[in-house]
Amino acid sequence: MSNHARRILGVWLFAGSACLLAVPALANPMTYTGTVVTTIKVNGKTYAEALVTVKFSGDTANIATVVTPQGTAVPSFYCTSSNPFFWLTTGKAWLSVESHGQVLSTRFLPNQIFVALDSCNGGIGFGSHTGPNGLEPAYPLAFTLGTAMSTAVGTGLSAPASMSGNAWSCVGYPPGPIGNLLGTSNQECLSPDPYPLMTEAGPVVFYLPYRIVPLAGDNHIGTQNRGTFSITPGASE
Amino acid sequence: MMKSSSLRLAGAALLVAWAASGAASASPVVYTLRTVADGKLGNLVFAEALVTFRMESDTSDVRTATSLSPFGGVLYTNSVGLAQVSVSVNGVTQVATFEPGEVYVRYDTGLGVAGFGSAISPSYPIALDCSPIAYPAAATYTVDCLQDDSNNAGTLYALQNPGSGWSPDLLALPRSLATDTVLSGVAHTCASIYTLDASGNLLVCSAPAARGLRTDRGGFYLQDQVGGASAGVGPFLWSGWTLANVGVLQVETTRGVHHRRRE
Repeated sequence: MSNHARRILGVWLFAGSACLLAVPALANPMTYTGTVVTTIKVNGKTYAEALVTVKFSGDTANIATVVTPQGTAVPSFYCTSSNPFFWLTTGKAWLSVESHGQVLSTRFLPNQIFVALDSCNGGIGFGSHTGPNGLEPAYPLAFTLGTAMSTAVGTGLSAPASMSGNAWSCVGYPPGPIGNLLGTSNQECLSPDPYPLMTEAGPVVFYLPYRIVPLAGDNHIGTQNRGTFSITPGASE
Repeated sequence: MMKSSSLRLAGAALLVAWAASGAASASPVVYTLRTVADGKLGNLVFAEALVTFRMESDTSDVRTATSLSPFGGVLYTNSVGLAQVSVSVNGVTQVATFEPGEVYVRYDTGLGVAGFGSAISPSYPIALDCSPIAYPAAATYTVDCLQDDSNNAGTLYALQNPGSGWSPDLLALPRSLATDTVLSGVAHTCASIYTLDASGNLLVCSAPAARGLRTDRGGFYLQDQVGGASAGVGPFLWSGWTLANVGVLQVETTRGVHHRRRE
């Protein structure tokens, strides 16, 4: 059942050098916030079972469709309608890690992460310019299923909303083969260690500690991490 | 009078009992459950808002009983501590403090269900990983959350059904309310029962609670308006409880961190 959905966001793997095509919209500052309890490494120190919050402040006017370098829409095997993939790359991003009463807050360096949306298959969260292809749609933190999926295919990134769903922190998404995507060699997410994201506090690595093994065939329900994602009006500092 | 040897024996027995109670390893603990839900706090009516439950307590206050499951297990509860709920709508957060005794933390390892219970129901205001199907049957479904969910799993289901197929970090999570752990699953937020479709699948919460849970901001209610009622979305029509809200109960010991505590 879940194989069909492996296509979610995974097609972005083809778009390693994708460029942007701006969608006309009115300026509307918005803050995107995701939370998950997971394992994370910040500047060499690992925090297990920590509350991790990722925040991105941008403007809906900068939400753009993802297109190929030739200017055409990134194809989706199962979604043949108009462009289903959107991202918001312009803005500021923060990371907070809470563990045993201690809070570590820092800022991502520019161009590390973006807000990601698959409006057809139903994925939403934060992607990054990292991984073997230089673009990861579900790393450091993206959500499928739950009310996150309903919102992703509904109001998307442009309207305030709160949602919950299955939380992925997966380099190489989708790990399982789907359509003409082969998945990863062992059908697991790739080790994130070679692909740290850079923050003012040093390199950061997100892990996926709670999951089905192997992930093959479970690009949706393979993760046992759960979390929340919210879209709130206004900028964040 | 007791002989000295008897006194020593009694003292030793007391020491053993004290140690067995967990007092020797008592530690401050914070229970935090995050989800998205529908309800009302005082005059604030909310739909699909971020809702966070938080209780500060001590691991020595964790109590054990027999699981409600016929297959065994342990029912852990903790009802001592300062319990709060926060509701965030469009980035604006209201925090309310529950009156003492209104809610408690609960984890039934036999059922694979965890959350916050109350005098209204053990599964209300919130229970994670409850069954999406009427149990025992549609005609006899009068109490929600007597069985777990095995569809969209979460760590609660995995910990109830350990074995191959789960990651080592997941299997290493303690099944306890006294040790750091992460308990996740689909969220039921209903004081009564859910409405049903013709196949006995649960849809939305049929009625609000008879009374609000008492807080310093007025009555607090949750009534799930999403549940399993979502129609199919996406090219493969995911629907029902796969599109329901989920939640995560984080158990975190915080030795050395001072918390306010209500006895």
